[in-house]
Amino acid sequence: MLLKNKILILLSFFLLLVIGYNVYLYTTSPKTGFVLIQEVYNGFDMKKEFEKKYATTLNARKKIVDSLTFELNVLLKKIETEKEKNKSTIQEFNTKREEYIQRKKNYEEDNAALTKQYDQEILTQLSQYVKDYGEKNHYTYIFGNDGNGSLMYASDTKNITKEVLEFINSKYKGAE
Amino acid sequence: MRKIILTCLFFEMFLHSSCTSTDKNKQTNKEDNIAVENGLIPSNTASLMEIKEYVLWIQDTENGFKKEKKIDDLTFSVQYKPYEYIICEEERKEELPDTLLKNKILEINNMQYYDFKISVNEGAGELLKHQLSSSQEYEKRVNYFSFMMQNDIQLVEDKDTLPCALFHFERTYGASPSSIFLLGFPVSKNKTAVEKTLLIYDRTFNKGLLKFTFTRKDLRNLPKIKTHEY
Repeated sequence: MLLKNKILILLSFFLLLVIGYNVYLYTTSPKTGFVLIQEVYNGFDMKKEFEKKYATTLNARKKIVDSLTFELNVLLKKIETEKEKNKSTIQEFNTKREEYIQRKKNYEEDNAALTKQYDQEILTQLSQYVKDYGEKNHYTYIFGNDGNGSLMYASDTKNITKEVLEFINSKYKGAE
Repeated sequence: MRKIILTCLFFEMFLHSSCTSTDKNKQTNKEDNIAVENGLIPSNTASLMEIKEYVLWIQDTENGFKKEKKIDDLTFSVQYKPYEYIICEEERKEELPDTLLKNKILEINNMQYYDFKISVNEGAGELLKHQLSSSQEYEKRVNYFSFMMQNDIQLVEDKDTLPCALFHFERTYGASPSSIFLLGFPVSKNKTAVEKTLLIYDRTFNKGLLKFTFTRKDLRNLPKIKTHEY
């Protein structure tokens, strides 16, 4: 009877030790997760909104360039059909052509600058919100999988893309 | 046997209490609503608070009337200012007579008011000089903050997009690493407590579009201050 009790006490002690060790491992081991960068970027509401805004600007500029092209073509046809070349029409054509070249160049530069600016603004907020998610949920590391080989393998259970996306969109909305 | 009787009694008590609370709910639903500037708040949920407690409650980010966003090296925050809060801040008294409060509200209730604040997270110095590249840029910033920034601010309420009709930039001249902007918007035709989203496009520090949403649920929790008759 005494021996049986001793064995029971020993077993309980051993069990406690195992549980304690597991708790220690759980609390001290780094919490990690990964996100699919492309999915997070494409699903970010700010990116979607800016994409629409950019498309509107691009369309408006394209319309201006298109109408200038049309005017140039009309003038060109006029010059070609005239038997006696009219100097004023030629001058008008040249002025329009210069305006067209200048505008096109300006728009191309502005479009590139706008894309760069939007990208920077989106990435600044995106990075901050992912950082906030990590801090709030006590992550030690959140890896980004962009398919370039920097993350070769991770278990699907560590994929937190959906949770991160929900969080960053809520943060962007500013409701929290 | 005693155990069975006790269990039955306990069960009966539980049933009785749940039935009475449902009746109470039905009764309060029929009660009149208290009108506040955000819309209609059911009288049973609009709590009454002393002035000090009320001011702290409004300034607490947990209660949804103040929103904060930390982005990189800057913190952006918006304080929604209900009329009673504005009057408490102006009067700086521990007690307010009911008539004074009502009269003051009538003076300001044609608009809705917010404070927008930008602060540098680390380091001191004037916000206007934060990451400055040239003295011309400083002038440009002062000019933008004083006059142009108003055009980059809007308030969205349901389908209404309201322009920033009142704008004032409070300069600190290096005394504080933050800047405060006082904002005012017209009162929307919709008088109920709808969700309000403040949109601010940050052109100075390249953080992009900043959104601050005051949810319907939070707005409906707005308490009232305890007033006194003199």
